[in-house]
Amino acid sequence: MKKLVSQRQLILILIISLVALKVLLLPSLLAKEIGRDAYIYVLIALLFDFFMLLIFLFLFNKNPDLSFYQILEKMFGCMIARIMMFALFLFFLMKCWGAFVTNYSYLNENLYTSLKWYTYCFPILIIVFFIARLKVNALARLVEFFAPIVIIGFLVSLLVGIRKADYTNLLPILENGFFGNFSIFFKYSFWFGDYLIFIVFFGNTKVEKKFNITISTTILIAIVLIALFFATIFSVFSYNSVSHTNSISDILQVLPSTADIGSFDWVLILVWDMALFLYFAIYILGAFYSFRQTFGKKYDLITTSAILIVVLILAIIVNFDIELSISLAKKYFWIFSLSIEYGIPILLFLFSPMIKRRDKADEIFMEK
Amino acid sequence: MIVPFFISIIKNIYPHTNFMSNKNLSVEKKSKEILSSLQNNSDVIAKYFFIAKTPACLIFVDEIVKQDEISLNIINPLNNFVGDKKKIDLDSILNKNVSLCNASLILEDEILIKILKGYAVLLVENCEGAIAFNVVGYEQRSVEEPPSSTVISGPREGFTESIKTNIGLIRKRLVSKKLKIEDCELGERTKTAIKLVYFDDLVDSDIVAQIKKRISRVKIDGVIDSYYIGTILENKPNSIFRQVGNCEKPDIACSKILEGRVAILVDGSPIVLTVPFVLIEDFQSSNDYYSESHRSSMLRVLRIIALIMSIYFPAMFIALQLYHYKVLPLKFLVTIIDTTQNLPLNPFLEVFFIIILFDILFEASIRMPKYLGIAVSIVGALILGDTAVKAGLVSPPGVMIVAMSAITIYIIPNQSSQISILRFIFAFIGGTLGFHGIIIGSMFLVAYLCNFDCFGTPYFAPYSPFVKSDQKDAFIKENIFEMRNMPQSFPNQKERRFSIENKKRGNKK
Repeated sequence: MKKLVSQRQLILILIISLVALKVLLLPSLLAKEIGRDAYIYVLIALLFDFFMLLIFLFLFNKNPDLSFYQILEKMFGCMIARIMMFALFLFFLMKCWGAFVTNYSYLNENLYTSLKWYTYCFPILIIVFFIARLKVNALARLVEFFAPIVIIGFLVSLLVGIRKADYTNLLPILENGFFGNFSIFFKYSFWFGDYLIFIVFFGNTKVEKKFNITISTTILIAIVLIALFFATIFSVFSYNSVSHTNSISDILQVLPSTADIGSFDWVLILVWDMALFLYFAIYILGAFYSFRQTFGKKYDLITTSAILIVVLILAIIVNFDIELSISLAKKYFWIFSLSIEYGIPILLFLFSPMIKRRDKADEIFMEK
Repeated sequence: MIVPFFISIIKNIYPHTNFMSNKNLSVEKKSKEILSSLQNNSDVIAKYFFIAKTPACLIFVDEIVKQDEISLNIINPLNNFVGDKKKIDLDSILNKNVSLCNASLILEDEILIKILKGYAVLLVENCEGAIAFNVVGYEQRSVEEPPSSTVISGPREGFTESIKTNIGLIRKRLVSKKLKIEDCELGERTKTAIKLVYFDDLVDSDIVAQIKKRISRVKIDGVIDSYYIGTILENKPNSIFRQVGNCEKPDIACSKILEGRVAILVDGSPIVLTVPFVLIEDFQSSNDYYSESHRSSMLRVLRIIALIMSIYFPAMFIALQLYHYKVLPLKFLVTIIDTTQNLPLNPFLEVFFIIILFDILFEASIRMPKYLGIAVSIVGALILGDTAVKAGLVSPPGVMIVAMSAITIYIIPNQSSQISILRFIFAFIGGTLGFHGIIIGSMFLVAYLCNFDCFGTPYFAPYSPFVKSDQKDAFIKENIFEMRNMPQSFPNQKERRFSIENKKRGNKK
């Protein structure tokens, strides 16, 4: 019997992929380029992501037993499906690289005086190698086990911030107009589009009661909370937001009134290490899945090793420098990630009637 | 090739006919053959006598039978034989002359096994086959409270090494016609009896079939304890984590059978195995079910804290000192620096030294005679520990951390061996990689355990995967009346355990 991923597990995977990377560096980067209104753009981008997720849900409900690749194959044929899967593979690989380098910089800054790159890399790569080779439902269980801890950590951080936030710091809203910052914001598309990990769970997920409503409501709540977190960061640190590059732990560390909790902020750092590790593992699985769909199911072992080695090489190329990684992502990858994030779902939505037509054609052919 | 084939066909048609035996073999010859097959051992007794002038022989192993019962219920009645004295056959002996109800006719090839199992076997001249009398009389322990499952309230009976007594203890509690007890045997030299006990209408039939399949495919010389069967049933026998539940008390075994699990009893072992098994079972104590639910829930949470402390405390202590001292609160940091600054060993070696010292003391106190064991623990705990601190070999925080970790291991006795190994591994990871290592080590551990699937049951159920209805008896325990559903974490046939009619609030069933 095929072991399916439950609705709860899917939700937690989506939440981890939504939250993990965004609440570290992004607030500081956006504060630098856009200013205190950045949370509005984050909210809009996340809402766009949400609509794309709805398209995926629509496709999933129509074909609950088909894998994502099978859907693509039915719509566009084998060749285009493979090209699209390869594009997704590159997107996931990019995300892995982002998580890998971010986690290193986060630990180096907060927990270690000088963390050697090999001390960081080899254990994590060996363990992710093991996890990526697990069945999808085993990874889902792993996420289900740790995700509540991550969510509690995020909520504690948010609540501590809310207690001290002065939201009047955010006023006046959109001082420089709405469209002025949009072009800058597009360049940060790398940080979004996390709903795409859903493709791994097509045909692998158990459809339970009120599946669509539960998933969409929970994700919507998560999106609002993330936007609220951004708003809180900007209102707490106001003009200093730029210097707080690790916002999730900075809230606990920096506020004077939370000094008692602040001395234990390393607990939150560990929780976020956990979140980033899960994020990395989820995307490695995504990369592995899309690669396998592109090139067939042979050489699984080699594929996983190759993906991890590529991530390591990419990290070494940028010398584990997060600043360099961000500037590269902003310069070269934003168009690619933007087109993957919004292009694929819109294309799928437009071509979704094709599945029915193809099915009908197949039926007629079989009858003949 | 052809002759054995025909013999096997005829044997199937006439199962009680032994075609290869010589019917005219005299009792004396037969008994000598049996004795020589049993290596002419001195404890195998062959007692020759006459049943109304017909020679007969009773063979048994001296040490494992009840001698009184033999003379009273077998030999005495046969000396005063009732019936046709010219034509003596086994049926007339069995039905008219012997008062023992545990007696049966057996085939020639069963004789040796029956003798070795403690039966007295009666051979009669010119009679094919034999009569086996169950006069088994091993020395056995009485029913006592098991040392590792003591309770403050609730039943105190524990299983013994006798499978018969253990079945009796279960039968006493489960008075149901649907209780099924299936027999198997394993071990070419031990012929150990194994019994599968379950409710036919509760248990998933695939689980029973799988258990039987796994047991039947093993050819082993001997089964001494239920641990052997546990290993056979495990999906990953090389793992340090056990995948089969065990218990020493009939009340626990019965409650697991009632939940739709299978209990496996092995002759000679007081440990009863239960499958399917989930990790949460080790956090549940029988005392939890005989005390208030709030108290039980609190104790379960304490057990989890104890588990975390025992695995992570030494590792965190090392990691904090070696890599992350800046995250420690200042006062705490000053205390640690004060006590550790002149130590000859670094924190990593210091903690390892204390852990190893503790484990040696623990092993010594178990193996030594009881009176010496107490002396060893006094020497170890008071003299060695204290002197080591005073001599400046180890620091007081180090001793305290390892001592706390060592004590907390035994809060979950069934997991103690796994935890002590994990404590070593995590201490090593903490010393080499720091907190990041501990986190990814934990991830690896959980990922590894998430991949366990014993008899269709996820190891971390009902938490991962989350099973809502089973949360009532997980880390938080609810009132027994709230646990109306059968566990959903593992496959079983029934949904509801019980219902309450005419409940005052809302007449819910």
